[in-house]
Amino acid sequence: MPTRTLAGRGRRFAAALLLLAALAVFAHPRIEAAGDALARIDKAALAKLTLDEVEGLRSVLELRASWLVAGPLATLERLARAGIPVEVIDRDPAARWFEVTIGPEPKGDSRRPPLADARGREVPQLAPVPLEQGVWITAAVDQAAGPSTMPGSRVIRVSAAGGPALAVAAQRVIQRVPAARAEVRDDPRIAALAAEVSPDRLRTSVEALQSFQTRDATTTGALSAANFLYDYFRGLGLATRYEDFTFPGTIDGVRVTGLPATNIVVTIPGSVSPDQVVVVGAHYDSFGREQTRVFAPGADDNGSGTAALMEIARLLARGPFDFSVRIVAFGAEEYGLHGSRAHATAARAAGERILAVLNLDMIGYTDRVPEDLDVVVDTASEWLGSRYIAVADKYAPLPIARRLDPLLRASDHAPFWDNGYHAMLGIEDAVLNNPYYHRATDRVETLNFDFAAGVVRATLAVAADLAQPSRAPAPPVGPSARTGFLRSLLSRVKLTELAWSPPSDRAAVGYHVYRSPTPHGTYQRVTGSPVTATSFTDRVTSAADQVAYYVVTAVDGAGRESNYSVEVDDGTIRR
Amino acid sequence: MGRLDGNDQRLASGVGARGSLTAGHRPLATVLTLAAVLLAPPARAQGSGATAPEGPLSVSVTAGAGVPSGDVFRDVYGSALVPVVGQVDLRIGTSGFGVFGGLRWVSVSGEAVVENSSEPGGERVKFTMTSWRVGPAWGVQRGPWRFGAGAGLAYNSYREEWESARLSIEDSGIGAMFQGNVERRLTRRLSALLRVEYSLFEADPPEDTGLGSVALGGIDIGGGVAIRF
Repeated sequence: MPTRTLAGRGRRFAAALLLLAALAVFAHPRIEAAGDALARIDKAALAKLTLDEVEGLRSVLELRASWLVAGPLATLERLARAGIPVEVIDRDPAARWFEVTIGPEPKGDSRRPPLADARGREVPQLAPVPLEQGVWITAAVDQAAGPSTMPGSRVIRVSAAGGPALAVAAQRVIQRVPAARAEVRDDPRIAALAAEVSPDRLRTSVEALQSFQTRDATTTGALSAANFLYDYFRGLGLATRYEDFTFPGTIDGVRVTGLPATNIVVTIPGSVSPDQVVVVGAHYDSFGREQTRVFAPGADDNGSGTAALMEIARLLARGPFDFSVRIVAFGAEEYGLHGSRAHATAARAAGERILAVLNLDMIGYTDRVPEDLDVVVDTASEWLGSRYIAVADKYAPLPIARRLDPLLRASDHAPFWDNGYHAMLGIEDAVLNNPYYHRATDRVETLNFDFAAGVVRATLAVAADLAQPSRAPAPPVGPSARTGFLRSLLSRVKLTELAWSPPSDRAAVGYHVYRSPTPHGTYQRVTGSPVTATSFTDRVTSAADQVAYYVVTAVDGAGRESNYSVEVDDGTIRR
Repeated sequence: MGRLDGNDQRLASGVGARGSLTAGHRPLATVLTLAAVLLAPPARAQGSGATAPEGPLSVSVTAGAGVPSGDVFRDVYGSALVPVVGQVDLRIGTSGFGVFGGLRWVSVSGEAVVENSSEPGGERVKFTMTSWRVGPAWGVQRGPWRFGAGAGLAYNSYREEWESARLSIEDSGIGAMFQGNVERRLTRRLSALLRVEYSLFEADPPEDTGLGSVALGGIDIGGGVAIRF
């Protein structure tokens, strides 16, 4: 009998062990096995994190007070355990697209067919989830279908796949780097170029674009306008090419995919670092609510921005600049930013180094005098808004309102944001106020070309300032940076070793190194007197975790200082 | 400096070598000497002094070897410190109880390490800490020997400097300390002293460094003299 009792105890013990093991298996590894999830994090919470803590997370969409992110569920749960308020919206977003609606709570759309994933399984729909005040996310829409439309709402379609690293997109929030006013170097050549902007030329260009009757991207009018622009830019002696793509559109109520369209891409190559590119863009297609395929003059939207491109190209063609300037007339913007998305996606895939994108859309209508220009940026591009204002202030004084509004995405800057580039939108009113918008009455006589000329002067000056008019001595070539940390008992020092090559003109007798906490920000010189070696070690003793951005200048025998070199970050941020 | 001949060069290198030996072995030599003195039988002349009445006040100075308790401290500054302690003990009544107050000073040079390793990083750093301590003490006399112990609070003021980076961090904080003493009377007023101390103190580096707390305490063993009044 005692033997039997012992055996019974042994079985109970074994059963208990099995139960514990099963509990351990089922309770724990959901985190280990799970893939990427979609979640929301407040910007205030992001400010408490370090760049290392958000490694692996990607920016899906910047909202006004929070960030929609995708990344490993384990990372998100680790942040949640650390007390960071992370709201997981979807634990398996891979097979879905999402719609972020800005406006009233969206209602379900019973006309939509149920979604299926790649294996044919039905994907459950997600009820509208509030992200922040007046912003909702709904699930799982078919990418092939057009985006939902709701009166009084804007809808943004997002995917949890791809997107720039959150550490890069939200760096300024995470590191709490304030947006500082930019300092601009004087350059009389920029002032001379800006002074040549002609309101009459702008008017002539808008009239020419309006004369196509419609530039709707589904019509031959758009192709004619593209050819007109191609010929114009070629006539300036600039390297010009078509960038063809296809897009889904609606013709007479019928959804059609694979419609052909094109961007016109003009390059003014840089004389020192042609791989560094400043993009100035505007869409040339138009849209009309009444008879878009017959008559959509689009004088303000966006004949005004396209005329600005023509004027800017004419003046910047005089060059030379250290960095390349690329003028892009985007096609099919009105059907969903297709031209700019094709360009930005291709640029990202090719690893192009686009310093900044200046997008102009509707810059000719003034509902008040003086009108101000709205410069719209996201968090990562805030430096660009600051720089635009500072440069405009120097060369083309103009009332400007900088708007940090990552949800204003209805123009060609947004695809560049989505691909991790710094971009801004210049627009007469971020809250549209043009009564002729998308109407047959959007004609040249409704526009104020003095205001438009001011915007063109400012934008031209910003593009020239970023591309740097070439001058002697030439700047050093290709700085690279390597960073390491040393620690003592009570402090850390970041040692950044910078190395560069002498400039091509061999005029340099010394070099200065400059540092900024934001990309293309206000640089502070860190070398007291010029260093003669082609390397320098910078010791950063406070806020050592903050990413630093460096440029180097050359100093010649006469004491003249060159333009800045290409900017390089210290390498502490992982992309 | 002018050019050195062969003898001067040897002399120069000898000085350098002696300098490094001194830094490493002086505390040990001091402790051993004092231990020998303490363990030696008292001389007859001193024996007569042992029966003389004791004053309530004692002033002592010790120096010796300190071993920091913190890993980071040892990585950056090594394991051998030379703390110097000055202390005043005041006996209250005849019960053996009293109070002590004093000062501990330590200064050491080291080399910053590569983060997340103990590899030297080639940047010289210097650490100095001054600790003001006070607390109750208890002691008992056994012939020429006196055994004592105490515990107290220490107000620690510290400073760390980087030579090349023009960076210095200064701060202060309160810690705890414990000590045990053995005295051996040499004359009516003078005693040799061996003291062992353990101090507990953690410092918080500046917030923007992202570094966690570091232990600045450790164990000291030191020898010196005490004068009784």
